[in-house]
Amino acid sequence: MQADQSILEVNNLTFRYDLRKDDKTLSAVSFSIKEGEWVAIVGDNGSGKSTLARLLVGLLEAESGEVKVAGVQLTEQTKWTIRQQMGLVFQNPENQFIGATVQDDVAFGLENNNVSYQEMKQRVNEAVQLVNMEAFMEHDPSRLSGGQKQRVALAGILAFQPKIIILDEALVMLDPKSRRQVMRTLQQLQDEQGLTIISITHDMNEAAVADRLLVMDKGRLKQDATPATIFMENPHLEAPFAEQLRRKLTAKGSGITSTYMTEDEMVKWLCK
Amino acid sequence: MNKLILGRYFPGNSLIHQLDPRAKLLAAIGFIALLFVAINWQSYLLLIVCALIVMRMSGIAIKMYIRGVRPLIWLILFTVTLQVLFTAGGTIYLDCGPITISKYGLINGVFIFCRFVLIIFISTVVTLTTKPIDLTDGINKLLSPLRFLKVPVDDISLMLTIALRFIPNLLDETQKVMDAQRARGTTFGEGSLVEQMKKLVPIIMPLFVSSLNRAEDMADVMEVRGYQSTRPRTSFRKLAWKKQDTIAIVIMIILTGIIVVLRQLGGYYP
Repeated sequence: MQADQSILEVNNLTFRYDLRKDDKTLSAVSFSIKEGEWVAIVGDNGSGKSTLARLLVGLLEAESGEVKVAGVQLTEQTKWTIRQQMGLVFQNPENQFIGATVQDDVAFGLENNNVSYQEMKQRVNEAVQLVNMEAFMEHDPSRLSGGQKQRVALAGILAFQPKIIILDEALVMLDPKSRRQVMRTLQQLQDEQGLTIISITHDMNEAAVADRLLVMDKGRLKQDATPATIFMENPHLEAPFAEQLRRKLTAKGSGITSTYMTEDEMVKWLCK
Repeated sequence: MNKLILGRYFPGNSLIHQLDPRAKLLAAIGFIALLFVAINWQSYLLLIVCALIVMRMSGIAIKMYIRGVRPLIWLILFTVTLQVLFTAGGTIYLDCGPITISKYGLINGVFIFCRFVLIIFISTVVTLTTKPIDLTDGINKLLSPLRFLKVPVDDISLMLTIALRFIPNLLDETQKVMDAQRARGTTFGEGSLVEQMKKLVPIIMPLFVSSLNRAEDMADVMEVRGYQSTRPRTSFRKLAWKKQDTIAIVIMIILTGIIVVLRQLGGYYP
């Protein structure tokens, strides 16, 4: 049974902000995510991606439908235990900084969960190292750039050691180099610890790293497939860099394969 | 905004900087209490000397402390004038109906002036040498006995921490909104008082709205990270009470003893 291994299950999730109106922000969205999977959710502005993220952690209450995390249904009663397994990194880093310094902020979630001082210290150090911010432990937020704050926000969630991480456009402010670094760290965590990652993004290069893509459109789940299928079938969707290059090379008639290529495959082909 | 000294932190490594915030707070409160116990010039002299020594030890220029007094100088002078004019007793130097300038009045005025200035100096020493976050920690720890009276001490200190953490953000944002309004042709600092106040409305409204948005975002973040005010939390910040802190408190106790003994010497008016 697939249901046994899926860590997150969403059934018929429907939501609207204004109950007086008929336009639903989300209508009957269903999908399931397996443990250790990296799923990217893409879609235009207003397609309901961020709303979906909020529903998954119980910040909003669905009109109908259910969310199950590791077999437990998300309700008003279970949301606190579920949040211990699920971390959400928001888009705006400014308003996510609660502690007075980097290390205080990373420790905030641990303090809330009554983690002992010794363990807290260790986990904070590890998490800060994962995002390469160890040189800034004592700094206060006003001395950090937007990208650095986003890395701290991510560290705050990583210190929590959740099973699922949801990134709601959480990497937009990073410069390309540190974004690549953070992505690599996340991939490593996915490989080694079976971390499940749900990344909501506009950046197709970020989406291309995912095992699976969910395409949202006007509150509906339009497509659920691998990046290869989706970029092949939707030529209007802005493709990741490797795919764009492949399309251009095809147009020039260079003899490249006519199927989707990941960045690694493209590099290999180019070096041939 | 830069003129406001009270509430700012000056990084440094002096002995005063290294003291535990609890020790500093307790000593400052004790010192201020002593200012009201002292009733003769000998004790005031002693307290002034002590304050100057502490200020010197903090390694921060005396100029900074004087700048801290400046915003309050009119209030101080007003109070002192009232004291001088309306206290009767002793030799009278000037008599104009209800208004008299007497010896007691003058002495009283001098004492009140010293009190005010020393209160400002000592509290400035605390705020200049302690990080805001350490200060809130200290307040949290000192208030913690109130927990038994069901006072939400942790919530109060978290509120303080977040408030302090957002002051620079709000200042930045004010600047941004002002720039935006300037770009739309508003000139600040011109026109009549009413006009100037009217110009503040388009600054305060966006600030208010953005603060509300911020608060909402922040509440979401705190909830997702598992914050529940009803649940016990551990604390990542630890304060370490060292020998020097005990010494500071002992010095305060000795000082209290001396002031109390000096009080026996006699009252206000020599």
